[in-house]
Amino acid sequence: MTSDGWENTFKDLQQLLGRTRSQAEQGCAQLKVLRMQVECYKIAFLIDQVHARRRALAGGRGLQAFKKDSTGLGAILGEAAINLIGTALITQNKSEVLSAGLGAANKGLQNRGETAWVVNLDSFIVAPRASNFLGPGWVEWPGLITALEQLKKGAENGEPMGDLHNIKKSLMDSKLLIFIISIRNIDTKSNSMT
Amino acid sequence: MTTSQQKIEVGQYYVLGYTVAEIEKKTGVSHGNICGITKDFESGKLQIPGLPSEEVSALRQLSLQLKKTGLAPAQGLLGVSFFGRCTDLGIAPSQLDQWADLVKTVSPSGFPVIDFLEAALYLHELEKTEKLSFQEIIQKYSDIADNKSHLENEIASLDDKRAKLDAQVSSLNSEVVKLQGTKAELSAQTKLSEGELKKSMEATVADKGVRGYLKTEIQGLSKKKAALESEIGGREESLNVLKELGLSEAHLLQLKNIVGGIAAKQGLGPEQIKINFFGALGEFGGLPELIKAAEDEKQHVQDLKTKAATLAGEIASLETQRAGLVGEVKSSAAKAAEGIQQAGEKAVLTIGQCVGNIETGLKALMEDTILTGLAIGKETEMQKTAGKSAEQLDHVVEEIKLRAARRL
Repeated sequence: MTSDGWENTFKDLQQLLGRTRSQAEQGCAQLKVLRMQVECYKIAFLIDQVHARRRALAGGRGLQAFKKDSTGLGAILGEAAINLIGTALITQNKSEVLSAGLGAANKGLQNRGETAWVVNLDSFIVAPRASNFLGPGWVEWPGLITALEQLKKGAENGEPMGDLHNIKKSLMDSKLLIFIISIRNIDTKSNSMT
Repeated sequence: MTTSQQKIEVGQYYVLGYTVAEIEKKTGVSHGNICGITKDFESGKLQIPGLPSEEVSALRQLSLQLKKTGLAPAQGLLGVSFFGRCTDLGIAPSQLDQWADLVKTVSPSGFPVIDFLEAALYLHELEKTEKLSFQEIIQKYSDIADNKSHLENEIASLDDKRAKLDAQVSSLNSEVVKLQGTKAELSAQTKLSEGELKKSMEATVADKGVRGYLKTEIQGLSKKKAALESEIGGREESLNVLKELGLSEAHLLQLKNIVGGIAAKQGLGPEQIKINFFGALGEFGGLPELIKAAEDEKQHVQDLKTKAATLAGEIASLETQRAGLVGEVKSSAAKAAEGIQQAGEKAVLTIGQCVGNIETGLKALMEDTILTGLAIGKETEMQKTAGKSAEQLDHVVEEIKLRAARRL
């Protein structure tokens, strides 16, 4: 090989290495973003699950409530009908039309069944506050959601969330939740004393 | 009765690649129901939220394939990333063998790469300095070698010729020496004959005086002639023969004296002198022929001298020619050696420069490689972390789902 050939080969190799390094750095950045998204998704999935559970319970509670008292059922059915007809006019798709109608009805039921909720940190069971599931591990819904949102922000900043056990530990160590739980314990004690 | 949540759970386990028996064990749903539910998921009658029904079979196949190959989902994700990297770099999977073959071809077995590199560089610089291609350099070298061997052959041939000529010259010299001896002998003989002839002529002159004396004597004796005619009658015929030959008795007497003198001088008997004299005359056919033979011999000696001088000139010319050829060969060899040495020194310098450049390039390349390696290491680390996160996410999702199922 000639001297020029070697120089060209070196240049090619340097360019190739530069491209590879750039791709590696790009890949690293993408993986970093992906990892951050995965960490966020852990918390987001947990939030979605407790929300879904809450909505399911709220829907059941709403249905029970309408069975006892049908006040407001007409408005819900009316809204469902409007959604159904409107979607039918726009899409012509039967399943979408049905989904829109049922969705509106379900939302109405959930709104009727909404109440103050508490969540168990160990099993993530959601229950109405009125059920009196009190004791260690049970926290108020808004406190849990706020704590989870804080964790999500931490995950967005690149903090590793670990597995479910780590997430629970993080929640338990959350100053906000500690504060809320302590307040609640004080309330419980004072209620029991009165 | 199977609840919708159980059906979704069955569908999720089905997608995750669990067997019917495993699903039955995990969910408590009967074997027959599980088969019916999975068919409904595949046909689209039932749906897993967020998962299109047409992807159910494909996802199950993917899960089964991962289980079969013993790979974790994170490893599957890594494989997808690797495939993506290869595709981004423009390397198709079918080209991986070609890359391997290329590496094998560039590094031949049994020949160190550094030697291969140095040989290639030396040849390249030789081509540059000589401004000739490798084939032309080889041709030039073979021409010089041929010319050298040709000159060596010529020198050997000239040496042979010289040896032959030396032999001829020495032979001719010995012949010349012999001929000079012969010439000296003949000169001596000629001088001797000339002396004898001179003496004969002097004798002839003297004979004229004797004749006058004899005339008077004859006149005196004529008187006795008559008296002696009877006595010398028998000798008259002999005298007549001698007269016919032009020889008188005085001649005979003179000859007798000459022969006697020669005999005394050479220490031979008169008979022997007579034999030699008549033998020489008989051999050369007479004195003129004898003189002519001496002159011819002299001429022959002169010719031989001329020939010897010519041959000596030729030998000197050949010596000069040989010396010229030897000088030419030495000069060519010295020039060629000097050229080769200069080319070698130039090649060494150029190779040194090239090696320096390559070393600098390699250092820069090494630095780039280390930086790239660090970047790739960081990326690999991030891949591992991301894979671990993905795995944890799977566990989190699965555990949350299981807990949700338990709640139900």
